[in-house]
Amino acid sequence: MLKFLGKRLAFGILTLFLIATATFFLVAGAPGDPIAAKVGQMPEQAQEIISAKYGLDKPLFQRYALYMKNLVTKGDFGESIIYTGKTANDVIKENTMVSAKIGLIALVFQVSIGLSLGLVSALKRGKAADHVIRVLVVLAICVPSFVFAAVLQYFLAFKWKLVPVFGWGQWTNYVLPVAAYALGGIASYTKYMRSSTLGVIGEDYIVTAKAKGCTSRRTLRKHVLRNSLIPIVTMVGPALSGIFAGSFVIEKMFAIPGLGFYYVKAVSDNDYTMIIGLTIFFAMLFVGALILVDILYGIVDPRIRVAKGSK
Amino acid sequence: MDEKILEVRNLSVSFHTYAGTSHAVRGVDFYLNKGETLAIVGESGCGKTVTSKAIMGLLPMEQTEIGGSEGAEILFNGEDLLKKSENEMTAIRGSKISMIFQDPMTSLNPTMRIGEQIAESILIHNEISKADALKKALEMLEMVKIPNAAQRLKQYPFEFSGGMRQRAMIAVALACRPEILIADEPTTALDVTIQAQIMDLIGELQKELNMAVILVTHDLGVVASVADRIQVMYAGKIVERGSVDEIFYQSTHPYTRALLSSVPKIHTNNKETLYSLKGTPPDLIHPPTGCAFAPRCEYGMRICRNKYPETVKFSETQECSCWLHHPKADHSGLPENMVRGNR
Amino acid sequence: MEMVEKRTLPQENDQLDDQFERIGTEGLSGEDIGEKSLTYWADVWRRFRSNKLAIFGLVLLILVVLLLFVGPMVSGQNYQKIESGMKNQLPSKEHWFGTDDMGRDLFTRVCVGGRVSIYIGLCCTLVMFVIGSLLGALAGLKGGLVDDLIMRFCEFLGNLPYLIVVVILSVVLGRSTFSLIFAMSLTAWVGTTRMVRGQILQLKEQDYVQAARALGASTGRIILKHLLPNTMGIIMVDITMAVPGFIFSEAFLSYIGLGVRPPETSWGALASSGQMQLMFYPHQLFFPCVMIVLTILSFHLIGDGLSDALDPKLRK
Repeated sequence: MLKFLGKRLAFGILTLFLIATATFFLVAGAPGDPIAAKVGQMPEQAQEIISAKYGLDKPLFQRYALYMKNLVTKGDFGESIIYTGKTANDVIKENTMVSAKIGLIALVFQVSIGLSLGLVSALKRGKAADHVIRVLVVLAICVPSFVFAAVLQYFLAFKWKLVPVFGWGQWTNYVLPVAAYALGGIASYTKYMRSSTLGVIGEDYIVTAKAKGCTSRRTLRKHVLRNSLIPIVTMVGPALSGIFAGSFVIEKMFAIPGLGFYYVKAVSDNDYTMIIGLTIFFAMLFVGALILVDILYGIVDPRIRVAKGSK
Repeated sequence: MDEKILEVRNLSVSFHTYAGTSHAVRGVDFYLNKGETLAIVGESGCGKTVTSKAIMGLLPMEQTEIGGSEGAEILFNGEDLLKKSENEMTAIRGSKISMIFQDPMTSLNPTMRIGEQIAESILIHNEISKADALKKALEMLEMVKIPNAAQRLKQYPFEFSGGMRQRAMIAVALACRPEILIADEPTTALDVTIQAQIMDLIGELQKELNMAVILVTHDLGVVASVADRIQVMYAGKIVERGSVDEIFYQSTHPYTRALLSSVPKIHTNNKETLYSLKGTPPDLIHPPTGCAFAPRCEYGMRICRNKYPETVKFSETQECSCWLHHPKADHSGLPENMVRGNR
Repeated sequence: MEMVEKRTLPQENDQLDDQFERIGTEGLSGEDIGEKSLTYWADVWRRFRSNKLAIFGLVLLILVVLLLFVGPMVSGQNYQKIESGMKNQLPSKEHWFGTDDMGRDLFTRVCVGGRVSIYIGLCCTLVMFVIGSLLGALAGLKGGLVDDLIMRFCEFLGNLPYLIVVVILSVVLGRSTFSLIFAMSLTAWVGTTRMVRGQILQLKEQDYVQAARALGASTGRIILKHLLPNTMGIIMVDITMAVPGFIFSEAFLSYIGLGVRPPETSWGALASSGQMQLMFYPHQLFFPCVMIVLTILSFHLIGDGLSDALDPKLRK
């Protein structure tokens, strides 16, 4: 297990290194060097600060080496070329938790509601409850989250004035983004949990459990649940990274000062250094989440745990 | 010895499928004596597995109809299992009647330790601590002759080979010392060498625990050495039954004959091709009114297709349902010993 | 086979009843008695056709596509024509879906934007399908080093956050339909590759592929003639599910300002500008959204129907 983790970690670091490199060269190395061009338009004072920091007069490769050195040794993700003095680290420090709060609450709703609905739907297969849940799931999957968010915003906030239209600070600000964010996830967790549970229910070992004299409740708890949750774990990885990255669209719509909001802002401002820094940070979260999923997977599925431990 | 532990009367099972109602078992009567081995033999889809699952109460309730024109009964020690509530059946399954299945690769829970799976049935049916149940599970593993049992107890099914898994499965089934073991094709998925070992093990444990065994299989070869009595099923009905000797040496139904001829013999002249039965079993959504085997039977007569034959009794144990035993039947060209004068 | 013992029958039964005439296995034709066998695809189509929801999806999709192409001709409006006096009109006889904040006819814009959205969705899917199935087949067939390299590469790409990659590429490549398609399909084929490879590995062991190989068929021929037709089913389900995914992604990208460049438009771009007007003119968001939802719904229903029809467990 440790050896496997070590290997997984090494691969993750390699991936991160490649992402950082690719991002830097793609963005900074694009035709006309957008960073140098952008800096050229800035007030002299700002030009000096950034040039000194990244050695803009030097060739691209040296700039890259300098950037990577700063990143690895100081954890410096870079500085905005639009808002002088504002660094990617500031944005990360101040706003990650905002995204995380929204994302985490939404994830809790997604998982708890999605898994329960999926389980109910599978156990009541062919009955009214199953049909209702399946229709709702198809509808929810077909509605993009920004459409759902817009509908919520229009009715709950604008027409009926139950919650603020957008903004941040009170608990009522959470309602709309969390709901909009959770919906799609609930639908897909329901869908996957249903098919996964149906698959497990059809397995021979469930018949064995019944032949042993397990009650339906015991069969469900001891035999069905654990096996049907295994494939669901793979879905949690990307979702975990989504927690911190937040949803670009949702944060933009509700003007929530999260990471996604600033990322989209950096993109529309053409704030190249900020884009590089935030991209690398997102990639770190993503790769970290994938490693976490592998660990989770090992805990849930003994086949993987033992197979990897023995190698 | 001849005390009936199980008696099945007029059992019919139908499934509601998309295509229509499938009559998988159509009026089956049989009994099982204490300590004996009864083999139910037939091609896949003949209703033998459905019959055994019906005894266990393991058929999916929503799509299944169990009964018959005169009402079916499954009497276990005189009590009708079909009248039991789900709770009462739960108490019987795994403790009084146990079952093992065809594919040991899929019939054990992949995410549960072998020990826990064996201990589970002990825990369910006895007031006992988990530690004690695990101790008993260890005894069971030793009983089914798994080496390094203590270590194996903590392993997962994927760390076991096919034969070992079937041994573990037997340990699960026998953990509560049941009175009846239903073995549904227990060796079909295994290598030939392992097959014999598993059959021997079942036979040995049967004597040790003095239980009755229902052995469900499509392979007459497996049955020969272990079974006391054999009943042959075709298209949801029992077409012939008898003691092992009667079935092997004096079978009276053309279908039984066909099954026997498809078993390879060691001293066969290798120029002789192995007999194979032509055609496939009938569609049970529209079961034929006459003998279901008639269209594939080389001795089939016109009446066979229209009317189901009466059962003819040849001895205490042997019975057969076939028109060939009717006095008016054309007996020319029949295999030796098939039709006997007595009826 | 065995010795036939001639038996003398009792006297009174000497006269054989007509009922007892032996007819043997008359009427038994070979192995399959009963229904005639359909070809694989005829069978799939039969099962697909009997699925009402799937047929509904198919009809819905055809209607949507028809509307996108015929709509602008019937409405007689130009999607780029700006009428400053007709800003933010509600739906009327002249402007069926009303007008947008620049006075352009929304119905025609929704139709034209829909073409772009579906075009992008189809192009991305095509790229995904071609790269994915070819690489997957190659990895599965060649095995060894080639397989290792391809799978490593897939693993690497799979470790990249999809949306971030798309955003970065869009930033670097600038806003155009082509860069959108490129960015969205760059990593999307990984799943298809894995799936096709898995299928091929299973199929490769089958006798008929071994036979083709033994007869000296080239790898290319084996892929085209034997393996692709047999993996088609699972790929088709993948495709129907991928198109709505890409339409979704396009909508998101347009929404955060990385989509097609104006005056071109797409459903995502229309929804994005409709969102700005939500408080006062909700219909500007409503119409493009309804079209997105209907299209995605139709693809989902078709995909579900297909995977049911292809599932061997549900056959018959």
